Order: sequence, then structure tokens, then C-alpha cells
Amino acid sequence: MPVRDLNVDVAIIGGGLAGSLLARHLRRALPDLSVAVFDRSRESSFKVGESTVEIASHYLSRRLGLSTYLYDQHLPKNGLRFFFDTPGRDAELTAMSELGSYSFPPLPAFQVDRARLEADLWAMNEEDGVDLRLGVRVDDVQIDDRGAGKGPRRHRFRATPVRPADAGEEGADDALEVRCRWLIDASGRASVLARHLGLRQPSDHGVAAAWGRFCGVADMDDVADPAWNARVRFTHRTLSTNHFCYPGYWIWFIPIGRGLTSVGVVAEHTHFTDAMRKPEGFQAFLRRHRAVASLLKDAGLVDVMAYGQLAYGTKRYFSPDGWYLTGESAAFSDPFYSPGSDFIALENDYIVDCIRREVAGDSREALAERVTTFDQYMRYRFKSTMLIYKHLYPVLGSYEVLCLKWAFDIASYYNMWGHYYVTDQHLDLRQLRTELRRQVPILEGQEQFAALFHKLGVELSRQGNYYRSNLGEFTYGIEHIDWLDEIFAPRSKRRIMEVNVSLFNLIRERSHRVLYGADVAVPPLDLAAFSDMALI
Amino acid sequence: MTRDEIYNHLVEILIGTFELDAGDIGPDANLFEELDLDSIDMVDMFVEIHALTGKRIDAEIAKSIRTVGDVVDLVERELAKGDADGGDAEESGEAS
Repeated sequence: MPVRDLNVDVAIIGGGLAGSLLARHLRRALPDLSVAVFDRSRESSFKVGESTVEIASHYLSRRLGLSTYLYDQHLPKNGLRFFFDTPGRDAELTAMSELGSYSFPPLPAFQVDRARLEADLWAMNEEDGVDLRLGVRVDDVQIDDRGAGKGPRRHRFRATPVRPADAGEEGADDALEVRCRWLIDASGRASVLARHLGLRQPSDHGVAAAWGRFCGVADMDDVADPAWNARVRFTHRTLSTNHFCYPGYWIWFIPIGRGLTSVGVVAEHTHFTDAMRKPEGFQAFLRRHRAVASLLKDAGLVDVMAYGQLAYGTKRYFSPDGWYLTGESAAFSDPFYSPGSDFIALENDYIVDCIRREVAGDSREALAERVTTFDQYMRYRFKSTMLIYKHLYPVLGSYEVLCLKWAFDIASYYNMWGHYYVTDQHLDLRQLRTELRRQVPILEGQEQFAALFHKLGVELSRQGNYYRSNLGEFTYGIEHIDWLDEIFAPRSKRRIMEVNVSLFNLIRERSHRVLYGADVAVPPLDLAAFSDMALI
Repeated sequence: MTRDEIYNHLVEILIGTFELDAGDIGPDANLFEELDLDSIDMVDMFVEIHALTGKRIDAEIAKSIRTVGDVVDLVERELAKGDADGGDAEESGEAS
């Protein structure tokens, strides 16, 4: 097979969401650089990960200028919504306790059809001058790590056509010997570069997933129950990421437009069977839940996919040698709160910032410090995200426990992570060093809260009370956020920490009330104490 | 260690560890309200002070601290009490 040379400034392996967004970001931020994207597929396909949350939506809208495109071609998301069931899984939808919004959240988020979004990004990127190479396999990767003073950096790899292209295009069958200054792994779970460099790290968070696209799923907003509709002030439940919660697993319903709904299950390995990977077994499993079955009554399955082990990590995200990982080529945690595209937003911001500074002539030392700090911060964020999901599965079927955990998680997200991102503090080295300096007590505090929620679930089970509030209840879950007006407004670090302390004390106090009633005294703790001691 | 030396070390800690701006720091600066430190930062600060003086500061006494000057007073008092604790005071003899 003939081999041709291709020289490019930035080569991106993988044209999925992470790689296509990065290509768009680079064309907008650094139009003088040439960008090429290499993808094994010839057409975009069904993928999981349809829900964005605030950080990702901010990135798509404000960094990439996709706001009107998203409203025009995809669906606005009405927050997250959780339903709870009986031990016999036989509650009707309208009888279930519900945790979810009665109005759209303060910043927009979207339910995207991944196949359509990625196809549209390919077209937009090609129009913007991105060299898009579809239907090629990447191998023989060679990283140039010679360092300074050895001439211009040139990473190399081979891009070979997966199968002969249709006749007529001269040279279409040639393999490419690609040389680039910056090499990006955005190859998803294939993790082409991450595996080549031995970076993948297993995770002990043992959950699997199966999911499919259905047509003809019943519309929750068509349910003719005036009281049920009134309790959410007639907001549109169908547009939420709807979770049906059970001990050990949850089932999602996400509308992706054009008559399609994504439906999936994420389960601890002990609740997941091989049969669930097949259309018959997957549907049979779903229909064992009365409310879920009622939504699927007239639905038809279009396709089904599965992953046996969702979570994994990476030893490194970014290198001063000019290679970077983004999206699932690096790591994945758990889809419960839809964090996948938030990680893409952070990673792509860091990659573009580092490349921009290298182009601008920052010293090698300054650049290395920046890349290393960003890399340490990503690893910290991943650890922190994994702790959100630690001990989650045994407790998530209990309305009472999940309400408290949700209150803690959503308030922390708005108060810290979301706030830092929309105010660009994630790009400020001084701020990052401060956060990294404090990572040990923060992670220990998260461990303590994971243990607190776990203990709540265990104790409620022991008392026979795990399910006691699973029918007939409703809460938005943000009633305790008395700083709603401040969300994403400029605030001092002191104010953020005040909110943290009051939130942590509130959740701790309410947890005590659940287990021990109203009489027990729960004196407030200061911030540092939350990482030092068992909270219940 | 003289009072000025203690103060200068403290300023170095505030700038080096907490990345505060030198212009914001003065003896009367309130650690919490003006310099935005919190109880996690205070734990870090007392680790640094221990490395500097060999003195472990009692947590209850530490709670009464409000300003940069309060920290200087506290360290000065502790040093005046005599030898460092625990024998791991690498730098405590530096100024005496």
C-alpha cells in the first residue's frame, strides 16, 4: 500500500464528541494552526452520553458558539429527576415519590442526540477548514519526547484506511504517515495513545451498563392526572434526565428528539447479567418494573449496546511533551450525574490554553509548570468525582437517603465546581494551586460524607425503613439552597466556604434527624472538622 | 527569633503557601475577613509554623486568632516558653 506524508500542527485521534469539539475549539481560538481529525468510522453512530450538565453546556454555548444550534437541533434539559419504587417494583408512575425540578434550572443544559451532533460537528468542522479523515485506523504511534534543543517536536503515527473507499477518488486508498507538533488522544474507550503509553488504570467502581434507543415511548407529560402535574407546577418532566432508582441500579429515560428516547440501565455487577446485553433480555429486564413498563408499553427498540465495566482512570492526562488526552480516552467515572461532557469541557479548555501559550512562545519551564498543574488538577477532579459515586448504589433506591445525597451533591456542584468553571477560575494557576493544596482535606471530607450516606442506608435497611418514604412524596431538592440568587454570580472565596460550612452542617444535621429523630443535639462543626471525623 | 523575624516568616508563608498578595498583608489584616483564609487554611498554617518554630499550637488557643498580628503574638509567646517540643525542631535555634 502506498504511503503518503501528512504534516499537521494538531492531530486529533478520534472524531467523537471530545475530538470534534476540540477541533472546533482550536479553529476558533487558534485559526493559524492546521488541525486534522482521524476517525475509524465513516458515519456517526448511536452513542451513550446524551445529557449535558451546566459546565458542559457553558462550554458548548460560550466557548464554542453552539447555543442557537443546540436549541434549534436538540432539546433543552429540565434538570435531573428521580423516581422511587416499592420492593416489589410495582408502583405506578404517579404513585412514586419524586425528586426533581418544578422549573428549569438557572443555567441551560441540553439533551443531545449524539449521532446527529457528531455528524453536524463533522460538517461544521470541515467547513471551518479541519482536515477530517474518516474510515482510518491509527497505529504505530511514536511520541517525540526528545525535549528542548533537539529541533521541532514531531510526533508520528500511521493512519491506514479501514476498508477500500469507493472508487473515483485518487489516492483515497493510501496510508498516511502523519507528523504533528501536538498529538491528542480523543479515541474514546479505544484509548489509542493512553494504551500505547500504558496510562490506563483500572477502577474498583464495579458498575456495568446496557442501553438502547426506543421509538414510541409514552410521554410523561401526557399523563392525565391533574394533581400529579400540578405538584411539579406543570413543568415538563419528559425533558428531564429521568432516573428510576432501585437498590444497586437505576434506569434512565432521556429524550433525544425526532421521536427517539434513550433508555438504559446502570447496575452494580451483582445486578447485571449477560442477558441484559441482548435486545430480548434488556427489554425483559426493563419490563419487570411496572412504571418503566408502562412508559414502554407501545415502544419499539431500535438498537442496544452494553459495557461490562464503565469506570477506569488514567495515570496522566497531559504532558509537557505535547500530547494530551481528552474525553473517554482518559477516564470515565459513572453516568449518574452525567459528568462525561463536563470532563471534556475542562480537558479541552486546558489543551487549548497550553497550545495557545506554546504558540505564543511561553518558556519551556513556564509551560511545563502549567501542563503539570492542569494534569494534577484533572487527576484530583477525577478522584473527587469518583467519591461522589462511592457507596451510591446501595443507597440510591431510598427516597430519604437520595434526597439528602442529592442536596449535598447539587449544592456542592453549584457552589464550587460550576462556579469555578463559569468564572474561568479553572484556568487560573494560582487558584488551581490553592485547590490542589487543599485536596487532601476535601477528598477526606468527601469520604466522610460517602460513609455518612452509606450508614444512613444501612441503618434504614436494618430498621426496615429503607422504602418508607418511597411513595407519595415530592421535593425539588434545592429548598435548602437559600443562596439560589447567588448561583454563578461573582462571589468571594470566603462566601463560598461559608456556604459549604452551612451546607455540610445542614446535611449532617438532617441525617441525624432521619436516624435518631428531632431530639438529638447536632452542634455545628467548622470546615476542617468535616475531614477529620465520622459524621454520624 | 525576634518579633520582626517572626512577622517576616509569617508573611513568607502567607505569600508562598496561600499565594496572597504582599500588599494585602499587614499586622492588622484579618485572616478570615480580609485574607479569606478558612479553617482548612489554618490547619496548613500551623503545620508551617510548626516546621518553622518546632512549636505545636494548641487548637483551642488557635481559635482565638483573628489577625496576622495575633499569630505573631502567639508564636512569640510560645517561643518564650522555652525549648521546642518533640525534638523535631529543625530551625528553632536559628535566631537565638
